[in-house]
Amino acid sequence: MRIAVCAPQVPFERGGAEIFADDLVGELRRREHEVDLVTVPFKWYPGERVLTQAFLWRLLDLEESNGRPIELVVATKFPSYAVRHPNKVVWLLHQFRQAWDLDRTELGQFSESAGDRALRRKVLELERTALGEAKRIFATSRNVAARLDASTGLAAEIMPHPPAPLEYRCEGYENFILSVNRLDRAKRIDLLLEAAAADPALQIVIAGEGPDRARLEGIAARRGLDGRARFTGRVSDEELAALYARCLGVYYAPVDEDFGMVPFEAFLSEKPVLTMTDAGGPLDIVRDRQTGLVVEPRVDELARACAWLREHADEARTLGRAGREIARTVTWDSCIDRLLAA
Amino acid sequence: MRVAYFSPLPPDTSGIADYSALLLPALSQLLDVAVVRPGRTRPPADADVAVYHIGNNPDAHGWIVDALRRRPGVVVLHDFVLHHLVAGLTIGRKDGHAYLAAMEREAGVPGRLLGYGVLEGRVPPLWEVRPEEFPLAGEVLDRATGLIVHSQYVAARAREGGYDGPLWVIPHPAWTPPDVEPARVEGSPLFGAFGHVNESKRIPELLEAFARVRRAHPGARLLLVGAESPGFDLDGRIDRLGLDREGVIREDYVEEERLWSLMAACDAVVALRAPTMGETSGTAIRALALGKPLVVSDVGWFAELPDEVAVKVSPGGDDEVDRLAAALERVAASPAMGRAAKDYIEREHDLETVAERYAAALEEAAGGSKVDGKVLREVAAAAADTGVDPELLAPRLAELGLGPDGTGPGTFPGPGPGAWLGRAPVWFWLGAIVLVSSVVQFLLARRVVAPWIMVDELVYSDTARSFADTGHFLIRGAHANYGIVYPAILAIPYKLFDSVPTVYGAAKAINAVLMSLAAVPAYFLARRVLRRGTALAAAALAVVLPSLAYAGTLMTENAFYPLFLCFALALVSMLERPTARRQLLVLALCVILFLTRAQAVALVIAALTAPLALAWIERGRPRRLAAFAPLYGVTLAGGLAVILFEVARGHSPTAALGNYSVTGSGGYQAWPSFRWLLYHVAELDLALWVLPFAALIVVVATARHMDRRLRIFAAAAVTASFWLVLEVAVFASRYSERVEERNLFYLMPLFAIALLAWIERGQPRPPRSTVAAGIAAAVLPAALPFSTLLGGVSSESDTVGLRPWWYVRDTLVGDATVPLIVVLTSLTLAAAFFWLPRRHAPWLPVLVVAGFLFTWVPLELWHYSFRDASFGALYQGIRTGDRTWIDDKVGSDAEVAALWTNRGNPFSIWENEFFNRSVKRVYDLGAPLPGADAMPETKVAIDRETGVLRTTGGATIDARYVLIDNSTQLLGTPVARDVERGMVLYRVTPPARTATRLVGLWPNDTWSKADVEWFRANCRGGRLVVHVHSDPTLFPRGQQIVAVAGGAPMIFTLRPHQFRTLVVPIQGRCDVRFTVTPTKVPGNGDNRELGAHFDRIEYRPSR
Repeated sequence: MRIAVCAPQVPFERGGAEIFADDLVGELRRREHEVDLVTVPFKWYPGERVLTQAFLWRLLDLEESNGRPIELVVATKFPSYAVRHPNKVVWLLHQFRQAWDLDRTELGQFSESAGDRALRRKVLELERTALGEAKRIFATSRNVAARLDASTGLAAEIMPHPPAPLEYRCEGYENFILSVNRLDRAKRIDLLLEAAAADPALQIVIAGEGPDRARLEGIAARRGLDGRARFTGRVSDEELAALYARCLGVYYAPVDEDFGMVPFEAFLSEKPVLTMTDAGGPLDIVRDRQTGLVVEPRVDELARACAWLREHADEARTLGRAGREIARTVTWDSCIDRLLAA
Repeated sequence: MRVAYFSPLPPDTSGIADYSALLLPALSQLLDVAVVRPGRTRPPADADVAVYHIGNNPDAHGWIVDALRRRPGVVVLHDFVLHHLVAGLTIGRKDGHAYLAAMEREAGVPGRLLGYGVLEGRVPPLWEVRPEEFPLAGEVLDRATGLIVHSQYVAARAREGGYDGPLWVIPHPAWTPPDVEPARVEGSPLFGAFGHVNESKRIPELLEAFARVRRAHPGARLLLVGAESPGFDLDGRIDRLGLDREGVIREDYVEEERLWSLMAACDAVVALRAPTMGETSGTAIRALALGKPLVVSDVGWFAELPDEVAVKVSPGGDDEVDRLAAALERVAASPAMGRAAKDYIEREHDLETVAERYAAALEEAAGGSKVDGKVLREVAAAAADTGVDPELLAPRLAELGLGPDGTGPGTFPGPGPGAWLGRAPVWFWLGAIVLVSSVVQFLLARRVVAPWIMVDELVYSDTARSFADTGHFLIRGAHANYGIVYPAILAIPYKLFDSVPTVYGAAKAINAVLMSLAAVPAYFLARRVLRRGTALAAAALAVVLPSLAYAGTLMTENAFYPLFLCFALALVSMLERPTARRQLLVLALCVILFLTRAQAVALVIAALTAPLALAWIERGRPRRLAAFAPLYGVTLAGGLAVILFEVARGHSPTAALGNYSVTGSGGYQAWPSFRWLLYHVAELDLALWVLPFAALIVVVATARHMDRRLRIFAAAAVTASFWLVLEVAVFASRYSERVEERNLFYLMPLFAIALLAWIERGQPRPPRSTVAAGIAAAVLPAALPFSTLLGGVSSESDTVGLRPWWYVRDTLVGDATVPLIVVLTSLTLAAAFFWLPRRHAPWLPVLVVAGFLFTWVPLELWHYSFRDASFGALYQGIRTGDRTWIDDKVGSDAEVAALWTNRGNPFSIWENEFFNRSVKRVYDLGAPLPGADAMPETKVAIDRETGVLRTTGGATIDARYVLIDNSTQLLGTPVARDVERGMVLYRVTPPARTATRLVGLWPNDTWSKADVEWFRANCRGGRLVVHVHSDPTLFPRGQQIVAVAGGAPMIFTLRPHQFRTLVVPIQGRCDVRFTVTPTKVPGNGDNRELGAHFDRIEYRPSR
């Protein structure tokens, strides 16, 4: 099958969405489809640029290429799904959240001026039109699907992104909680540090890099967590797999996250996931006392949950294995089957 | 975002007040809502958008319509039929005419007649008997910038009614039912009907149907809640139907809480309506919210309710009662409908959702077009860059909810290349252009020291002076037959100031401002076809034309130029939308222009033919021409009236042209006309520096494929140019035989705009028209006869555009080479037109500006500049060093008569007349001044007996002062002299009389002509001693002088080298005539016929 995977690209930036698109292309190719990544640079400011950039996608002709038809288009993220194609499937990572749930928050983009308000409406209208044309919409998490429903009234099927192909294994349940995440404020790693401060027996390993690292290391230093909180920085795939293999559980509690690979990776290593009731996407698979622990977003609750895991290593194994059963269903095979069946 | 919210509110008891009370708290969560106090029609100043809730009740909504009239906004149309409202706003305010107008608008003349019937009481009020046939929603729809309705039904009717703006169908929000106990009302089943008890609620049919149901179900009850309409006779009807009192339960008007409680007690609610006014029923919404199924009429909004919540009965027909009875039975037996009702209300009428949709609609209405504009601009610019007609993109934009429907022209406004200009408002830039230009032009005009285009400048200044002094437009006291607009403007400084130099300075300042104001209409004209920044460039181009140098002259061009551009703007706007008002505006401007310069006659023809040109460009639909009926009708009627008036006065119809009536007398010949047409077109092309000229040709040739605005501009520009050039050329072929660029430069901004529009649209170069335009523009200047056109005072004053070539010829290359240089230049420019790549396009207007600059330089700095011409004129006229020497001596109120003796220089009369207000009349002794056809003067002759100067009618010159050259001495006291010009100002005792007079010497010379006459008044006898000599090179054989002094002729011979004194005894009157023979024309530039040198003449009286 000839397939075009469409994803926008913010020049000189690379994150989960870009990796996701590359993975999808790679997996499709592995299954002997003829696939190419179609991308257009994206800039969403100032003002109307968000629309004119969406427009660029609208102008593309992906119905055929060099005389041969393109049978399927898979779009991932705003505004790539504005592309026109009779067989358009959207595997939705992100709508333009500034126009919906982030509007009127610190992360919003539109002011209260009449022009900005109208612009926001037009973005929503564009999403309704462009997504409404898709033959099927898959959302990477319940959170993304719910937002889609609320903002456009369109329904999406949930289809999480399969985790990266690491050497997942379980080598035991050592006494440390692992955080795997980019170090920025929304990921709430400071709560884990505070929990360690509250519970002198708690040891933590923080993998990942990010703009919040200096602040987080400051917290650790002030709270006297030397030796109990270790910042690894960016780690290799092998190191990451090893950390997963040895930890007691994995902490993953961003605010209202759309989807996350981490819980799947933890589950594949038979580790329970610690998350919070407002974490959004992770809650699709992390169920309290079934596959992990879901606590109120408070330090004491988190500390108590960590302690509980430490004291119930067997339970941790049970929860982790239950999670593994879920994670095993999320494979590229099943995802691609669903995409191509659309 | 702030929304001004106009609606009736509680305590008002209308349904719309309840609606707003429900909606407002939810809406205020999403938007900054400013609720306008009922009765106040001014929206809060800072509101981004206003929303107007409009229903059919004039008491509740009249003020809201008033507010809507003040500021258009989003209308929430609660009823489609607004007849009652409109009647209240018109008849209710004693404005029957407005009601008739509304009726005519709705239903044509029959509607109007029906309206008369209503006003006169012969037809029952339509709003009571059949409002649904005449909804009268037109005005409200017209003023709505957006429309919110509650049903597809009203949406469809609004579209049918011609509304084509944005429209949102937003369901009526539902109330959350209060927690009330169902009222204890018997009935199994219990049907409820709420609201007015009357026929339009179909209560008679309901009663009848219910009577049938009750026969089958004796436990059934009907609850009728609401006031009974007068004359309805409910009790009588119940009795007649044989319904017992128990069957029908009545409650009059009830409070809200009781209403809910009663409704909650019902098993089903009946909400019938026929006819519908397009309304939504609050009762039905409430009932559904309570989970009560409905029985409704199958009309309007009701018909759109889903079948699972309402049983619909179409009104009318013999079996309506049967169907209604069946519906009642069915609804009573369907408990599932109640649950469905609740679901439906929660799903479709949820208050939060409705508020969100309101917010979406209002946000779009407030800022949507702005966003559209910006997006379209960006996309259109990209499209244009890729050579696509940006308008083609509009439908696709619309598909994504962007932009207007994408059909209309002018979809792409706003600044393009000059976006930085956007930071300041347009008026700022425009004001800056006018101000800078005014200052520059005034400074340049100040360099001009005296009027020099004679006698034109004198005509307008004299007329203005007369208007200021006497309120009449006179020249030298005689009726002036010239345009009055410019003299009326010039009269202002004449009224304000006494000193003529001050007046002259102020007049040039006014000229500078008038000319510079042309930037304003030029901008708005350009804005029809150009982006903002480019339009500002066009405005600037309009005031860098070299012809703005006329600001230094007292010529009508100063007023005609800005007025002409206003005319062009009006013409374009008339073609865009030919309303009667716009057509009349065009004609009114024609009249004003005609009163400025008679050449505006051509513009009337242009206005008449422009619609035809547009129809031709758009290939057809002459049907559209019908829209121009007022234009043609008024012109025809006006033309006939003028002809009748002139004929009735006993004049030829062409007399309407005033002093130019002679131009209407024909005598034009085809070949010279054509030749001069060619010269004029070629000179216009050259004066424009080729590029704009070629651009207009291409624009006109390709207009059919361009946007409508450009088509219209092309039609207007080509007709105005064609007729004006033709008129001026034909006139020139017979009357002036020179290129009258002075009468054509008004057109130049049209060409400049065409160039900019051509560039802005991506320089389309369709091969055929581009080649034709380029070649024509490049080659035409070669047709100009440079050797005759370059030089002379008329080319100095009338053909500004040739000045650079004149300069090149005189200082650089000579007569033979100049055409070559001109053609090479125009070929180069044409090549730029053909081949300059798009990215360099801004250089094209820059080249034109450079050309203008090249024209300006000799115009200001060379010795054939306006400044030097004015110095020359002043030098020939006044040499006292003080231009107001006469006024200074005698005061500006004195009466000075100027006497032209045909000796000396005409400028010595003209300049003195201009600069000295005391000089009020001009007389001539024998030969008239040049230009006497325009400047009336009185011919006088010398009474041989007394020396008194008399007109042919015998009148004398009664002024206290007389200005005359020194060839003639008057009896009186010389009080001032311009020695170098030989002008003497005498104080005389009227009537003015001559003392001596010598005729027959060449001005400023001792050389005589063939005949010389010496005369002295009041003198008899004595001797005349004359010192003469000859010139041996001219007359090697000597000459003979014959003198006649009353007696026998005396013959004197003059040898070649001889200086001789002739003594001539006089018998009788002192009148001696000399005849010199032979005479000779020396040649070598001196074409005078020379006699002898009369060196000195002395009179010796007899002792």
